[in-house]
Amino acid sequence: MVAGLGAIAVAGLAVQVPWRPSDAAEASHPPPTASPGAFVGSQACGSCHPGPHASWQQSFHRTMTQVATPAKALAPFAGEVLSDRGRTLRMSQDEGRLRVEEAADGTFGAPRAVEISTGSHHLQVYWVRADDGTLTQLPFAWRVAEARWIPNADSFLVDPDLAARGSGGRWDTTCFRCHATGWSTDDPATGAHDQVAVRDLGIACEACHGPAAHHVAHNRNPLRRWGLWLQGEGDPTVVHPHRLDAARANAVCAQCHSEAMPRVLPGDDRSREPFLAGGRHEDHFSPDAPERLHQALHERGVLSGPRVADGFWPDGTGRVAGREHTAMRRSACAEQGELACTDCHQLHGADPDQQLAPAARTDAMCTGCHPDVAAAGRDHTHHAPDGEASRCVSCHMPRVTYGLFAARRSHRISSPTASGADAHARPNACNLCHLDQTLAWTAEALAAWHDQPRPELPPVHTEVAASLVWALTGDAVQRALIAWHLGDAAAREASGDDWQVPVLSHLLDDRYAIVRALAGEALFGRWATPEDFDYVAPAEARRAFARRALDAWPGGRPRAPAEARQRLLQPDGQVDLQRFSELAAQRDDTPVGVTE
Amino acid sequence: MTDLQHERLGWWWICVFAALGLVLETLHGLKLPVYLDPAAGPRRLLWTLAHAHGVLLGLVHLGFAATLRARPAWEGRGRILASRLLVAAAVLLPAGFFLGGLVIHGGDPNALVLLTPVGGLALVGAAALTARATP
Repeated sequence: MVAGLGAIAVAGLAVQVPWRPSDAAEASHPPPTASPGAFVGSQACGSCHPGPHASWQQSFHRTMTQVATPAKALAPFAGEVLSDRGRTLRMSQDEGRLRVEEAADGTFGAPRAVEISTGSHHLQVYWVRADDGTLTQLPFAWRVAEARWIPNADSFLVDPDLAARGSGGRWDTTCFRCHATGWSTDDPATGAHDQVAVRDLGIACEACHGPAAHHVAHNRNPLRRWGLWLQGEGDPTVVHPHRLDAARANAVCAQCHSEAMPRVLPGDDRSREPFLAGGRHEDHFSPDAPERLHQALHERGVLSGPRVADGFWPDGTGRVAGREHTAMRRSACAEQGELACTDCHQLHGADPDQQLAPAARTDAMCTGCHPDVAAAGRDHTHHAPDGEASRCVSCHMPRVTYGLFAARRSHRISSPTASGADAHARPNACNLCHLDQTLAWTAEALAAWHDQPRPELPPVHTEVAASLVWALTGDAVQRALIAWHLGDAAAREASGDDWQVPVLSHLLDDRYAIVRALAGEALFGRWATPEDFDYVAPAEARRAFARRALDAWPGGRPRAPAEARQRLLQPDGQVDLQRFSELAAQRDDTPVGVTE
Repeated sequence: MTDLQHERLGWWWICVFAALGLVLETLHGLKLPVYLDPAAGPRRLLWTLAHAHGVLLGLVHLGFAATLRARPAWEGRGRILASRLLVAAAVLLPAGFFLGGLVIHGGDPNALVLLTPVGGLALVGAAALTARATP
């Protein structure tokens, strides 16, 4: 009796779903269409994959977009009244909902419900439904590091005039594509293509593993699961980026972390279809996206100048965070090798901050392919072996990318050159740490150490520290990057810290709030206190702070004339006002519109 | 097996699986990842079930011993089969839970967990035979 009952039970489980894939549809992934029904949502994944599900729960990918509730909101919504650029809002909450009222003619109107929030790591943005029914951003965002509201327009490195012309992000036209998972714009009831529906808010399991309805259905059979486990085979009904070739694995990340426009060919509705993990990047996105974007923005009069969409240095290196794949694919490691995003980044189980794999926290990630460099040691690095300056990423992935109030590492892995002499040019790794040195000094060192040719340099780059030239004459991206590096502890240690106050004070009055913020933060802890400075305060208040910081500065130490001139100082340590003003007058005021 | 043997087995099972409970509490106390990590959730569930079912089956054996004493006239194949099924259940049920949780894959125990439903069926069979023999 027992044997009979047992056999019936096991047979019942086994026949529920076929044991092995028998149809071509299962063997191919991803499934051919991405109908909303093909996505099951992240809740369905946790019961079978508790570990990865738990680590995803800790990630900023999960909290990228959330239903806005008092428990999930980082901002207080406790009656704050915020005003900027002619708009005044009052934030509040009641009955478990976040509310916002906007003032018109001095009177607050009816409260609107805040429906979703985006971001949770650095900034949190809140969205309400506009009169036309679309979700639109509030004009204020919560900056996590400062625990304060700031105008949304000041949270991006965007020219104030361009920001004034913009209307903020629109969830229903753009943002949902990367801030939600399992989206569709097709309404099967009406046949319309403008109804956004998503399976999961945020970047959920199926963003990287593909639609999983097929996978879930086939794996209800425990014998199938055990069979796959015992044979050590991957499950063909779901995408695992580690089992894809490097190009397809990288495409999983690149669907959002790249400068890419949906590929829309004549008669092609592909922009309506989401990219599915396992697919080819070039099937969904234009490979020449940056140039096309550049052209489109020029045609609309948003951009001027020869640069590519303000998102790239002239050598093609990205200078905006969030386009890591675009930068990485231009690296020799990707062009000549098989570099994959997951070689350095670990999406499950790593520190959520950067999601770096343990090996990527050391030089092991690089020395595996470059053992000769590891063997050369100091002969290659010319820096102390155990210091941060000897790490591969310090020189080969310099922080020349701006994003989210910080200088971020470039993902175009390259060797340092004495770059940065031409207008708008990319700063080099050496001068971003040795802030007190000239470009000529860097060129000399690279010629001596690595036989690089000595470039022709304009006179200013033989006399004045490159950081000061970039900070005073560069465009907003260069100024932001230098402001950040002027506050970097390692750079301060390498460069001394008695000469930076004049240039930082100058940057406190920059046209761009981000530059002001980074300059203010560079002053914190060494020359000023945070409560003194507000980078979004009226101009007069900001200038008063800059004057106070400059007045409190005792001046640099006495130096030889050439050394002092290099730092725009006089030999007695006071500012060389004439030279300083000459360079400041050459500031590149080309409007910058770096949207992240 | 005699009523005394079932009684002895019952107390030993309570002893062993109560001790397993102490071990599990120790794993909790030491916060060992092998037991407390989210990925170890299935193991935690299975071992807890092994502990609970082991103790429970010890009590069932004590009850079965008391039944045998109360009905000395119950003889024959039915009694022998019920006794053997109960012993099989006492071994297979907790063993399936425990061994199934030793090595887990995602949310799945290993195949040794199949001992558990076999043990469960044995327990049901023993209970049915004992109930049928009750006047």
